[in-house]
Amino acid sequence: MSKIAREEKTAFRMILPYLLIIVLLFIFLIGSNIYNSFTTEEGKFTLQNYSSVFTDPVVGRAIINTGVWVLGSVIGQLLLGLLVALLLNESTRGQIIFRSIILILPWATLDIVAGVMWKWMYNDMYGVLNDVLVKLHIINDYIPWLGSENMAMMSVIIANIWKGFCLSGMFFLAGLQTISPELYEAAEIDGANSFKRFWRITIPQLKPVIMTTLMLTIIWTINYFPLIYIMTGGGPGYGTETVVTYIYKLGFRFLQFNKSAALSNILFIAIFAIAFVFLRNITKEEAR
Amino acid sequence: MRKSTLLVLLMLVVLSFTAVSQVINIWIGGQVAELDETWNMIVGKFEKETGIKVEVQLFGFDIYYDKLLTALQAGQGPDLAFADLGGWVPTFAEKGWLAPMGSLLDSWDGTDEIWPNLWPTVLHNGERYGLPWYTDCRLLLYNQTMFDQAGLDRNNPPETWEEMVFQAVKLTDASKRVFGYGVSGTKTEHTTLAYIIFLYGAGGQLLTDDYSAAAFNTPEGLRALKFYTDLALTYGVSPNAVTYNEDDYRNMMAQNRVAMAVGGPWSFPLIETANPAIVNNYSVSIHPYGAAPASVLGGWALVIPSASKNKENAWELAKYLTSFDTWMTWIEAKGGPMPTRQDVCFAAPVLQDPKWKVIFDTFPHAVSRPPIPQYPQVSEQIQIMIQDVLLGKATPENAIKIAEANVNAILGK
Amino acid sequence: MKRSTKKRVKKTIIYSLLIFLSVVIAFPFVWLILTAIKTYPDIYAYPIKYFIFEPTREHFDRIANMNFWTYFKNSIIVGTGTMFFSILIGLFPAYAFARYEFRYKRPLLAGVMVFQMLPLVVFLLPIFKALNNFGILNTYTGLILSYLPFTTPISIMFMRTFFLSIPESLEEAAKIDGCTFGQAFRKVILPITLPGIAAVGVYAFLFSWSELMYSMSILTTKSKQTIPTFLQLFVGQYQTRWGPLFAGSILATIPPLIIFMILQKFFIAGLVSGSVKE
Repeated sequence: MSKIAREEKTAFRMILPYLLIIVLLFIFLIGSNIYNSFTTEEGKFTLQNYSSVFTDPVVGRAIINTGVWVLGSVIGQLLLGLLVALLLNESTRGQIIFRSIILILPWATLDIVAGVMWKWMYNDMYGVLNDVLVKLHIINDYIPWLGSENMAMMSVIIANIWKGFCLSGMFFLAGLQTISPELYEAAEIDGANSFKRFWRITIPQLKPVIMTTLMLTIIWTINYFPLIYIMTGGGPGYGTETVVTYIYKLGFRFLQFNKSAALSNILFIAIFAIAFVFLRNITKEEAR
Repeated sequence: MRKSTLLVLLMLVVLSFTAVSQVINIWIGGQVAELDETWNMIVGKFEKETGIKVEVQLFGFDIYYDKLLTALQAGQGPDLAFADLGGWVPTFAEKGWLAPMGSLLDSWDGTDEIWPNLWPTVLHNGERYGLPWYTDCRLLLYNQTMFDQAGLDRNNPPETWEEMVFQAVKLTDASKRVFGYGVSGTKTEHTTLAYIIFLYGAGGQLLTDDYSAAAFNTPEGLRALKFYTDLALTYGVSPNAVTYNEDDYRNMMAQNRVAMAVGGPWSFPLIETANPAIVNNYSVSIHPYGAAPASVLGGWALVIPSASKNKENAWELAKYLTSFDTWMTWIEAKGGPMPTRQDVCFAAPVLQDPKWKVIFDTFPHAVSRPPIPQYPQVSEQIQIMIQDVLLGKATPENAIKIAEANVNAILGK
Repeated sequence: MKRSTKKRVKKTIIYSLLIFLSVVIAFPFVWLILTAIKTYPDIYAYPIKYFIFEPTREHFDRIANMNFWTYFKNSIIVGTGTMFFSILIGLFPAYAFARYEFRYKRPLLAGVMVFQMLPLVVFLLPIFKALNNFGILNTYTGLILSYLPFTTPISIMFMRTFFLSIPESLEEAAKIDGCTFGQAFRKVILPITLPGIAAVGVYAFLFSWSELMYSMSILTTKSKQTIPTFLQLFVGQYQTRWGPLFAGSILATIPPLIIFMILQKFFIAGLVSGSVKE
């Protein structure tokens, strides 16, 4: 047997058991979801759940909001994560303290706690954030952080960046620590300055981690629900209503389970497409 | 007797024993979920008296609904549960998740003591599905210290809308971040409840009597919407309305920063905990009105899920919890919330406080929210309507038209 | 001379940035701690009382009386179980995806990720029913099993990238030295990918530690519940009881902190360099 064929066999032996279980489980669990999306409450076949999703103005708004939410959060989390990872990589003193504070505290804060805490900090009658900013003379008057649709979206994005950047930070740091220092030494000898070294060595070496983190962060942010729901409930108006908060509302508040199922199936297709695009890029990079 | 019959009888006897010694589960949500020690005491008594074991589980409000819904959907869940009178009972009953309680209620003497205007909230298709346990109605909560400071009479809170605006403006000093009346504008049930008070206070109504169509797009409804939002937008007597609701205002009131807001009996212990100095410096009155006094009621009922295997014992526990003696014990210990039994309301010494007198006077006139499964969606439309006006996205005329259309679409389904 | 000053300037900038970031990032958490040791009137006070108040331990006592430490123990059980199995299950598939060339890589990877593509809430009811049918509702095993479909894909995706960064030469060298695959894996590959494994471990632990919806629905008896289920009791209908909520959440931050402090040791540079000397 050729080497490639042997490799393939070993690879499949390592992967397929897990994969089969996962996919079958998925189909089994989601089966009823798909079934529900095509039936009315009485059980007759219908496409009305899907048509009602497509004609629902809230859905359109939710899609736009989700886009903004994801763009803001992902860029913020990844940039902050990268910055933090680079800084922590370079530092040696107080490593444990810095790493523990920066990389784990926000992440270790439970969703409900982070949600109510940020909501309270954003309060413009006795909230800490406004008070501190005014005392530091950064702003003159209290800002109604959650008082308008745009402000509310920005505020939840900030809270989400705070809560979520640790993941990218941690994986980037681990990735940076795996880059062999000799690569840098060789480049330095060749006369490259730190900027060049960053772009020519660090980023390319980190590329697999970056791409994976980017893909996963996008998908997670799309699906992330607790923080927004606790802080604004999707409001004011529909200002922070995302696809996921709406799926939740349809199912759990309005008890329109079938419509909720339809919307979640559409979401699945969208995310699958995004994942596929990323995976094509990731696997292409590694093809020999 | 034949052997097989004996065997069956024996099995029944054994089964009945196991049924009796089985554990019944009760799930408690809402404000009373915070009173774990009191529950343990009350339930402990029941266990001793009847030998039935009870497991009590307490839940925070938002989460409770999700947990109950998940369990009921899967045919699981407790034997006895609390359900909010703001629409949960018809919603669950419509899905067939609750056991009918009509005949059980008719066979119990306590049923006549329950405030009559509570029964519509547990009705579905003419059958009763819950036993109301505690209730409340909404009033004007006000800070008397702030009244004193503004030169107003602390025993004369406003009765009409005109008086309310006048006094609120006097109490407001925006530069010091001190406000006269807190307008609830969040995307939560508080906003709908507040609008209902103003709507009915203007002589309007939310839905038609048979709950089949919207009835609030009337001159009265528009007047209520305009006045409510004007308080924040035109008269400026409220903090940023879309961000806050009555719970926030109560805390601000405790710090002497908001003089008036919607509140109810639950507010008393909470505002006193937030600032002990406010004791004897706050009170309640019937909420100011435009045309006629109005209030809206709320509360929680005990329901028995249809999937329960312990319905008889659950009913025993329900009767016990709602009995005169248990309520008297409870109210002496906690001073609240408002019992659904009229006899307890009028007998308990702790409830003879003048604040409670206002509550009992108001309660019979309080309306309930439409007991229909689509109520949560209707409520959301009201919240959106108010927020759109507060955010400047729509005029009151347009907002009310859109809300009416949406509500009719929801009800038409 | 110039070079060392440049280095010193660089170091100063780096450390100042780190300190600034630490302060900003830790600020909400500091606020959490301060609130947990204030009495209610102090919590709601305006003007805001920053540091001048009389601290109290009433909130911590309160949650201890409500069996907080039982729920703490339960969370630890579920958390370590999830962490352990997420790493274990993901290890071999991750390696295969990294090292071997085979057809259908992209669709297979997409298949691995399938549970990530829907919000958690969508799976809640079906998983609940399934666990109930198999009789493992209300067990730690059931809960951990319900988490694994969500944590193992991440474990595979990330460990894969770390396996990718090991030079082939290392493995070849080990094989030449006569190691079997298993030995090579244990002695050579594993140590180098420890940063990745450690990161995945932290992730899996935290996923389970802070998860509320599933643990609340699946663990139905009170004595088995986890910390998030307990804490949400304090987000009440008319008010949030900040005191006990924050007190509990501070205590709940300690295990992840400890686990992280232990595992972050593996984020060390230089593991690769020494071994590639040829």
